[in-house]
Amino acid sequence: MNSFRRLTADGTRKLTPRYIKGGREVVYTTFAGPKLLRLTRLTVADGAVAAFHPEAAKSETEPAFSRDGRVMAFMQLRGALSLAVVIRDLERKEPAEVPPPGGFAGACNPGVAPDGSRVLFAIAENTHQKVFSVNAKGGDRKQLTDGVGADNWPSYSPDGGRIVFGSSRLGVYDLFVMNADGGGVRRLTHGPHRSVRPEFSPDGRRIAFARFVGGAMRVWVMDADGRGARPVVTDSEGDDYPGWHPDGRRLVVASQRAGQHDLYEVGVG
Amino acid sequence: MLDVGSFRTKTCGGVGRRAFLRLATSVPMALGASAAVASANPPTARARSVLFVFLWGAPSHLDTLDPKPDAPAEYRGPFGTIPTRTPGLRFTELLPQLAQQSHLFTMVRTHVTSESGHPEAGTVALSGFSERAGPVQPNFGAVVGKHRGPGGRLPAFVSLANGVPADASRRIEGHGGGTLTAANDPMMVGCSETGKANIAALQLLPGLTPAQIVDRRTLSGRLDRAARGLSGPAPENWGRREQAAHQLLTNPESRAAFDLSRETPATRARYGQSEFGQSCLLGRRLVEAGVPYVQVNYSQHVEAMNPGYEHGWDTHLYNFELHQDLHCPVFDRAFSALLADLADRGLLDTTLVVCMGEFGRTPRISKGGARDHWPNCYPSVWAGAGIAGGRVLGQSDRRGQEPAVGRPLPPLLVGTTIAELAGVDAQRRAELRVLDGGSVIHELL
Repeated sequence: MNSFRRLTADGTRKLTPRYIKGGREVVYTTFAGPKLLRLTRLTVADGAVAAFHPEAAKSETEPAFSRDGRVMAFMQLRGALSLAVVIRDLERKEPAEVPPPGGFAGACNPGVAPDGSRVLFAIAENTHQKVFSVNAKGGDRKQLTDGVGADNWPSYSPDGGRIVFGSSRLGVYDLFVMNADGGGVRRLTHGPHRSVRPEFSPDGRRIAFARFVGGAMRVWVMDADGRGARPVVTDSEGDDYPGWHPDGRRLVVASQRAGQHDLYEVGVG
Repeated sequence: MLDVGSFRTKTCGGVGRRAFLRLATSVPMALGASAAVASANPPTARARSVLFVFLWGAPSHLDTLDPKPDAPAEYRGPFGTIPTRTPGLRFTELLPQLAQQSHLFTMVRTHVTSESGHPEAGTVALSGFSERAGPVQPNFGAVVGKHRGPGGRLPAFVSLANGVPADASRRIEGHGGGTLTAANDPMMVGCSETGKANIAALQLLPGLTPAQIVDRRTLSGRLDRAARGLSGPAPENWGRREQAAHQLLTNPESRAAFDLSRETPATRARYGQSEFGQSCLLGRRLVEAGVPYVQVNYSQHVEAMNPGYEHGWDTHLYNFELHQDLHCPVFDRAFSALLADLADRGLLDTTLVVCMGEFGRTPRISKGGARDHWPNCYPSVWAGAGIAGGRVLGQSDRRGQEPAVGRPLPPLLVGTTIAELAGVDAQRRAELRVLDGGSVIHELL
C-alpha cells in the first residue's frame, strides 16, 4: 500500500484539488451548503481552510494553475446552466474570460499552460465536447480536437508541447495524448472501463489519472507513453481527482472512507 | 438531532402569517388527522409501508439503468457497462453497488408518461394524472395515507425534502392531498448531509423547547396566541393540527423515529454523507416506526446547476460529468444501502420500494453535449412486498427511445400497483374516487 496522510477531516464532498505555492497549499472545490460550490484554500502545514474567493456568491469550480501559480483558470456559474471560464493573472490582476454561449451552455475542466500563455478547456458546440484553447486574455481561440465522442480533461505537459486528455471517441472514456497544436493524437489506455482526469507529473515522465476498476474509482499512474500503468493502492472506498505535488513524489487525491470525503496526500515514489 | 423551536418568522403582530401557514400545511396527517380511518393493514396488503424514492429531475436512463453500449456514438454515452447479479442485466459502471443488489429487485424498463415538463410530469409521476383546473388527483402517498391512517403516533405520509418538490418556475401540483384535501398532504421533513432532520412544523414557535411542549397547555396557549396574531381568519381544523403537532412532539418514540443519531456510525456511513443518503436512512427509520408511506426526494429542486439551487438531476448541460461525479456516486451508495439494510433487517418483506424519476432523458446526445427530457421511455426499480428480485420486466429498443418488449407502463399503473400492494383495493379506490381507470401491473407480481 502506498503511504498516505489525511489533509482534511470534515467529510464533506471535495473535488478537483490542486497544489499551489510549492505544495504548501491546496486549492479545491467543496460544497458550501447544498447550493454553492466554493473554491477553498487549504494550508497543508496546519490544516487551516479558507474560501479562495470569499466574495464569490455563485458557484466556482475546477481550478487550474500555471506552473508558477501566477495564472489561474476556473469555472464560474453565471446563470441557469451557464458557465464561464474565468482566467486571472494573480499578479497583474488582469481578468479575462471565455463567456458562456447563449442558453444552456458552457465549457468545463480548464487547463493552464505551464507558462500561463494559453488555457485549454472542453466545450460542446455541436453534440460532443471538443478541446479548445485560448490565450490568457481569452482570445485567439483554436479548436484542437474533432470527430466523434466527447473529449474532456485537457492538461498540458510540463514543457507545454503535449496535451493529455480523455475521450470517448472509441467507446468508453480512454486517455489520449496529442501535440499542443492538436496533431499527432495517440491512444494511451484501452478500456474496458473508463479512465479520466489525466495529469502529467512535474517532470513529464508519468501521468496520473482516475480509473474505474473493481467496482470503484481508483487513482493510477502510468508512464507518459501509456506503459506501466499501476494503481496507487490505498485502503479507501474510492480515490479520485489526482493532482501532482510539485516534487513529483506525491499526489493529492479526494478519497472516500466510511462514506465521508476528504483530501489525502499519497506517496507514489 | 431535531430542530425544534428555532424557526423565526415574526411580524410586529406576533407570529407571521407565513409561519402559521407552514404549520397549518405541514402537520396534516399526524394522529388526529385521520384517526377515524386508522386501521390495521387489510388482510390483502402485502406492503405495510411504501418507500417511494423519487429521482426528481430525471436521471439519464442510458447512463444509468438502461445502457446502450452498441448504439451509435450520438446515443450511447461514454461509460462502460458492468454485469449485475441478475443474468443478462447490465448497468453502466456508474452504479457498481446497486448492481450487486439486483437480486433484491425487479427492473422495469418500459415506462412512459404524457408530459415533458418537470412540474407537469411531476404531477403525473406522483398522482397518475395530468394537471387540471381545480384540485389535482392526490399523490399516491395521500391515497395510501388516507386509507391506512397514521402509523401509530406518526404521520401517515412523510415527504423527505427541504420543501415541496419544484423547479425554478413552480412546485409540483400533485405533491399532496389533491382531491382528498390538504388534510392528506405529506408532512415535509428536510434532512442534512449530517443527518439532522428539519421538521418545519416544529420550528414555528420561538423559544418553545421540547420540555415546554410536553406541557400541553403551554403548546395550546402558544398556538392560540399565534392564531390570534394572524391578519386573516384562522384556518379550519386548527384544533386537529394543534393536536397532531402536540402528539408528534410529546411522544418519545415519535421523536426518536426522526433522530438519526440513534443509528450506529457504521450504518450512517453505509448510506454516505449526503442529503440523499441520510434521507434514505431516515426513510428506513420511518418505515421501521410504522409510517405507511414515505417519499424520499433526491432533491427539492431539479436544477442541475443554477444559482441559488441545489444540484439536481436535470442535466441539460454536463450530463456525463454530473452523472459521473455528483449524482451517481451519491445515489448508488445510498439506494443500494437502503435496499440491503431493509433486507438485513427483515423489513423488505413488508416494505414496497419503488424508485424512478418523472421521465427519462433524450437518448440522442444534444448539441450541448448532454441530454434533455424524454417522456417516451424510462426505467424503475421495484423491490420488497413480495416482488421477486433478480428480474427484468420489459426492454427498451436498441437506442433506448421506446419500449420494445412489454407494454408501455404509465404512472397511473404505477400508482395503482402501489395502492393495491398497500391494501387500497379497487373497491376502496372507487370509494375514494382515486386512480380511476388504473390497473395493476400484474407482471410485477
